[in-house]
Amino acid sequence: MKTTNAFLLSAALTGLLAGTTLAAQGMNNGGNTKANKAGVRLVMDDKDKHACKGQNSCKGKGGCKSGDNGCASKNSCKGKGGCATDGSKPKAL
Amino acid sequence: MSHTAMPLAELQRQVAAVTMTPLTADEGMSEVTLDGRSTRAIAERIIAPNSLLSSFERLELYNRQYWFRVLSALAEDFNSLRTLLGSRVYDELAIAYLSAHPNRSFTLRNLGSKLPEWLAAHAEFAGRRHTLAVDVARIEWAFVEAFDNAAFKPLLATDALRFTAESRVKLQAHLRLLALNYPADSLVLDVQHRERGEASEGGHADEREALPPLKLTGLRAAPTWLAVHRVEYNVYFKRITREEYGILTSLAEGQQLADALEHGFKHSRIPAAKRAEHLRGWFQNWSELGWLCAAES
Amino acid sequence: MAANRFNSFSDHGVGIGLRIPHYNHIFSEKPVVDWFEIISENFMCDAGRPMHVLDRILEQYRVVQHGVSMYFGSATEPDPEHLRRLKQLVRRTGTPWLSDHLAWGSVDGNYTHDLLPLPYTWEAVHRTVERVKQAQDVLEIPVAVENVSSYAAFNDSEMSEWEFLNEVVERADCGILLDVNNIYVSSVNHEFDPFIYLNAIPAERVAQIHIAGHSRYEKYILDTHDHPVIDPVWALYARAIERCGYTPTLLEWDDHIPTFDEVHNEALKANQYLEAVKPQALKENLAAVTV
Ligand SMILES: [Fe+2]
Repeated sequence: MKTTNAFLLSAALTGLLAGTTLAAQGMNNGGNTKANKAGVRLVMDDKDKHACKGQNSCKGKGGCKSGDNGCASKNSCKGKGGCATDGSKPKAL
Repeated sequence: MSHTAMPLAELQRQVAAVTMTPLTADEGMSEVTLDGRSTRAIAERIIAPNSLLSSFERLELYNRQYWFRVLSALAEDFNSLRTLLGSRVYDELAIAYLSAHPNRSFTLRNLGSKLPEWLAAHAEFAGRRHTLAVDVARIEWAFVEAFDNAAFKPLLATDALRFTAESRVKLQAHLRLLALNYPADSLVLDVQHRERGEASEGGHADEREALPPLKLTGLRAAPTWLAVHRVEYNVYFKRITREEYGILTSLAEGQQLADALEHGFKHSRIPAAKRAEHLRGWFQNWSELGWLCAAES
Repeated sequence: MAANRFNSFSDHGVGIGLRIPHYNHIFSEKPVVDWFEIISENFMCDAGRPMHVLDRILEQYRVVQHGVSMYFGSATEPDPEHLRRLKQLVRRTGTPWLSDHLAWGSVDGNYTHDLLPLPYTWEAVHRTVERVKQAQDVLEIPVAVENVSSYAAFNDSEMSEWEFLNEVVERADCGILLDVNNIYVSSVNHEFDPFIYLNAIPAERVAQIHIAGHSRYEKYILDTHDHPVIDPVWALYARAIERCGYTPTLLEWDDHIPTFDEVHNEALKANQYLEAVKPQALKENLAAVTV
């Protein structure tokens, strides 16, 4: 049992040393080999969750699009006042 | 009328309770908070009306704004879950989750941190797709973490030379290890692929539109082990073996190297004679990918 | 007056918000922009792509931080982690001043992620002053508070919004990020004359000005930052510059974001007003330096 463990351990340590050495070399060749072993690359969107804007529509749900004339006709906006294009006069009561 | 000002903290508790009360089906403010108080009474006590809007309507603007903001932030992170379940079920689920777990963090980045765990305990939303839905949610949350978690300095060759059976390592902060019931990573990749296709054809999927549940063809349950991690500012999915998962999670728990190896091969079907070869390859990959870092002494 | 201790005597002119849809354009075209404003919370993570993008921007541009979740007016205690991370980011960006809103948004550790208006009471003045002072002490740079757009008013209010703002900034001895669009939005929603508000502001404390577009609905205006600046807001801006002199000015555009050039050109319209006061302001700066 002990010898098996020692054998496995030395294999792990050999791999560890080889990997750290390759990583150091990879820094010099732009890390291409590393990316090959990394798996499937996901398409990345940048994330910008915080903004200080007001919100009257929800991207995840059906709702009233702000700044959009079309929303006045949507049920979800009933009684909420339809949107007008920017700069227009507020509608009279 | 004599009027005593409400203490600021109390006023804020009441306004927050109303603001965070789920909207009605037609996206208006509910008449009662989750704990049964009248939103109208709270609004009238606290909010002054103007010539166009009542107290109730003014508070309703904030109530709507709260839900629109948190729901869209959550949908951004759990897009595949939404696609899998369809928008109707997903919306119910998202509202229930956010009602149970309002954000306790200053950043919206952490809004979905408890969703996988919460969903695992709430089978009523996804029906027969529950197990798959939990897998998808776990992958999508792992993506958030891999995207911007810290990057620890990986082990160097000089560190590796000093390693013994008793050594410990720390795992890279952006590495997430998942044991899944389905190969759900392929579903997430498919969803992403499809949406990219639609986006490039100009027919950009409108996130606001109703979405039917995903038609599933040929996705069968199968134990799957997945590493979600970052290389050069990009996130990757890497399938790993059950043994790799066992060793890496043992190392993450702080076990010594020799113990982690033993744990990883418990009940393994890899023949004893092949194990050393596998180990050499795994450790080489992990250390090359920067997954192994020096444990704090 | 415009380059003052509340903006570290900066000569920043017209800037725009740094937004994701413009990243490609900025990195490939390297447009000349006087400065970018970043939303601090979008860069308060540990590493990865956001920090990489920020570092690339910092190599080429001046950046000023603008926060959305300090919630100076929240009555219950803030998360110390927020201030710790904010300070880390301040060190990284070298922002000459920093702003956040005169608002509240969290209670008992639950976050609404909204800029909720405060009741204009003395209790709220004291609480807000305490929090602004604490932030200035920890961050060791000037902090400016921004007037928000609001859609509701409180029965308990004991003063007007501008009186409240004045009490807070005088007592905390901090700067103002004057958002003239927010004054306009609130003036419609609360039915007051925006020039009365604007004329009551202590001009010597204005560190920065925000301009933006909004969405008008039948019975209210929402501060959606998804349109060009409207003429009545430019009129308020003109008056603000008349009172404050050459002041760092930033256009906010956060939704339905058009091309970089469209946003930048909209912002640069502010130069029409700034140019007229520029020489005089520069002379004042020079005098201030040589005294
Ligand atoms: Fe603003």
